[in-house]
Formats: sequence, structure tokens, C-alpha cells
Amino acid sequence: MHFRRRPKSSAFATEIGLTSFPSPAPKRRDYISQKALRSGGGGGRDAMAESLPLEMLTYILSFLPLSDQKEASLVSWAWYRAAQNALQEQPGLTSLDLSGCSELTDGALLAVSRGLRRLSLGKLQRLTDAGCTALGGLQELQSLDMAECCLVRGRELAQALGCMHGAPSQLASLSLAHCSSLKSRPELEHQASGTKDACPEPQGPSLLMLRALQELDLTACSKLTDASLAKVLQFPQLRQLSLSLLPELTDNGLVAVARGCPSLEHLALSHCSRLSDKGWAQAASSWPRLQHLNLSSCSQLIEQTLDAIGQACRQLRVLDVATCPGINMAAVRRFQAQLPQVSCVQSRFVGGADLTLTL
Amino acid sequence: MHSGGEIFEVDVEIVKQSVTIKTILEDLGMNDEGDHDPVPLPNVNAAILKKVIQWCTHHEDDPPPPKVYENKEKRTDDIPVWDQEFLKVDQGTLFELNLAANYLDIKGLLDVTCKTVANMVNRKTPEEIHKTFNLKNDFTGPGREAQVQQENQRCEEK
Repeated sequence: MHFRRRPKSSAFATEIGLTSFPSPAPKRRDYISQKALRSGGGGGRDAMAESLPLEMLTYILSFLPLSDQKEASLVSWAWYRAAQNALQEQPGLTSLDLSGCSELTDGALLAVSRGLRRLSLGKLQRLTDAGCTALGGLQELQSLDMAECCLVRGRELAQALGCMHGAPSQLASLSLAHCSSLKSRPELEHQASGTKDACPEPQGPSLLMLRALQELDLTACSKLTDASLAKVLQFPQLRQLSLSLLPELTDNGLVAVARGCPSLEHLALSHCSRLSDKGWAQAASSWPRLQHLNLSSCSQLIEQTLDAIGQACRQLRVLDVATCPGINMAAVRRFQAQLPQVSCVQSRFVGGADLTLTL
Repeated sequence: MHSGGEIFEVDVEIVKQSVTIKTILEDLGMNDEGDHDPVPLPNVNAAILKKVIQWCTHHEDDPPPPKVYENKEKRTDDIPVWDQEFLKVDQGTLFELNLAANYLDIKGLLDVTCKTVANMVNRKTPEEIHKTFNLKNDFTGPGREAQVQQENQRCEEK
């Protein structure tokens, strides 16, 4: 039997199949190309709900609200599995905050919905590297907070976040503050001695793959070495960075970070006791867009540092130099005169400040 | 291999709604004119193929479906009236259309068939779902259903 379509010149109704339909409006075209399709042989087999593939059943159930998915999961084993899959594909859930739920372990990450854009896992102190691999399934993830996940060492995390099924990672905001187990990769431990090419590039997964990163918090990741920070912190789009409480960070590291992250607007370097005027003299000029700067408790900074920063970072609005013994109030006042638009300078307990408390 | 199959001649533009067929045509370098070898579709029987062609014909001028999955809420109450009538068929045919739409990769047809099936599941208890689809409850033992219910409850409480 040949079923051939021809352009019709007048509209008419036909009965097709089991019910009648109005025929489609006649189309006028100068040329119609035809293609032949040959169907499979034999009569129809009885397709039943029993024989639906799992992915199909999952897709069907994903159209239903949660309550119906729950009922569906009680129908049979196949429907149970499909409903569990559908649960993971909740497209509506984009932001999930599990921070502080300290009883949660790695298993929690496996149940997390795949459409998530923002995920907070702060203070989940039982999370380990094994759980981090599950994060690779979150292809829409833009913001991840893993502060105080102190068992996470980093390798699996970098691997999960960096390889998003071939597409580049969209992660824009990442906090690993106080992840005290976070370690550098061993090959980045070499100190660059003289020649710049002495350090090998990191092979395999590393934070470098997060090219869309705009915010990064590495506060108190005390195991990260200066050399590895210098190698890894190369993010041209990075706007906010915290390297506070990293006693390993030296001037060399600072200069490398400055060159690698020139778009910084917010920078926190409090309690980085090895940073000195020498580092800032070179680094300041790389950060013309800096607006917020926290240098509190950087014990080696001196007045000249403040001058150098004031000259180079003309867009600065907020500066914190509290408890910097090497800076005095005169320097702070000079700085404010240099940059009148600075709206806030924290200068508690700087050198020479009056320490008497008024009760 | 092709014994018993029927041949349908269809407008190319209509049939390109099927990504599968479109890909076959592009891969085999078949241009619009000339080649008359029929495209074999062994997974789709004649009756279902006829209905698929009918659906594609009606939807020929639809805008193409969005490529990237949009994170908007999925719903089942937006099936066009024509499609609702079109899908008033026995269950077997409905599932066959569903599987055919999947095999032929016709997103619009896949979505309306899935939504139609979802509407048959909507607001039903497990017993009613069993009856509707003639399904077997293979949870072994009387305690199992209670256990699954408990697990579901824990999921909700988290």
C-alpha cells in the first residue's frame, strides 16, 4: 500500500484512524519533496506499562508533583526506582542550604537534586572526599559553599567540579573557608628558584579548571602552600578573594596572585603575617579595580605600604588595617587625604593608636 | 529483513520533526530530490507510524522546541486540545506512540504522550494505578510496602 500525499486544492474532512479530525489546511507550495519511510513488519505488539524502559517511566513521573511521585513509588519495584530518579530531577529546586546539618554524611550528596544552582554544605563535618564526587552531577551549579568541611582534602572535589561532562564549569562562587584538610598537589610544592618556568603546571584536576570563578574563599586553609597558591590562583575573572589566615602566603605568592587575578575588587588578607611592604610594592599596581581591602593583623605592613596602595588602587572604598602595629594614624590620615572617596577605614589598635578603653 | 513492512511517502519537512530521521537523512547525504530508497524504521509498526505521521503533519508549523532544557516547572495541564483528542486511544496504542516518539526523537510528541500517561497516574493511589495499568505489585512480603512508605516519609522530613 502506498500512502501518498498530494497538494489538495479544496478542503475536505476525512476519517483517519479511530476518530475523525479536521484535515490540515491545504498548503500551497511550488515544490514538495517526498521521502519514503518503511515501517517495521507484523501487527502491533501490546505495549504495556510493564514494559516501559526506566528512563521513560522516570521522565513520565517527573511531570508529576512530589505527592504523586510518592504514591507512584509504591506501585512496584520498577516504579519505585523510577520515582527515586524523578525525585533527583526536580527542576524547580535551584537553591539548597544544608549547612549546619552536621549528621549528614556523604550519602546526602547522592540524593541532591540535579538542577541545583546554589548549594551550601557549610559545617558538614562528616563530608569526605568520596562524597565530593557526587557533586560532579550538578551541571547547573553556580555557587558552592563548603566552609568548615574539615575532612575534605580537595582532589576529588576539583575533579568533580572541573569536569562537567565536557562543558566548561559554570561555577562562579566557591567557598572552602576553614577546610583545614585542603591540601596542595604535591607537584606544586617546588619553590620557584630564579627561573619562572621551574615549576611544573598542575596535571589533572585542579581549581584552575574553574574558569568562570568570580568568588573564592580560601580563608584558613592552612595546608595550602605558598607555591601552590601562586600556581593555582590564575583566574582572570575573579572578583572576590579571601586568603585570610594563611600564614604560608609570602610576598612571592602575593605578586603571583596579583598577576593571575587582575580583576579583583574585594580582597581579604588578614592575619597574613609574612606579607610585607616589598610584596605590596609590586602587587598593588596589578589591582586597579580593588574596592574592598582587608589587611588587618598583617604585622609586617608599614606606612609605605599604605602609600603604595593608595597610589595604585584609586577605586578603593573600604580599607581595614586594624591591629597592624607597623602602621600609625598619621599614615592612615595621609591615606584618607589621598583617596577622599574612601568611606570606611578600620584602624583599631594600629601602631600609636590610643589603646585606652573608655568605659 | 523488511518483510511485511509498509511504505509511507511523506513530505520531508514534516518528517524532519523526528531528529532520528533527520539525522539519518543528513548522515546518508540524502538530499530532497532524487533518492527514493525508503528509510527503514524497524522499531515502529505501520499503524503507529501512520499516527505519528498524522501528528507531525498537524504540528508541521510549530515553533521548534527549545534546545536547552528550561528550568521551569513541569506541568500536565497544557496539552493542546487537538493532541488530547488525538491521544484518546487505547492504552497499548498510547504506549506505542510514547515509545515511537522516543525512538524517533520527536520531543513534542514525546512530551504530550508522557503528560497524558502522567495524567492517568495523577492523584491515584497505588492500588488504583495497578488497576489502571494492569500492573503487578512485585514488592515481596506484606512488610515491604510499609517499609517503602516509611522511607518516603523520611525523605520528606529531611
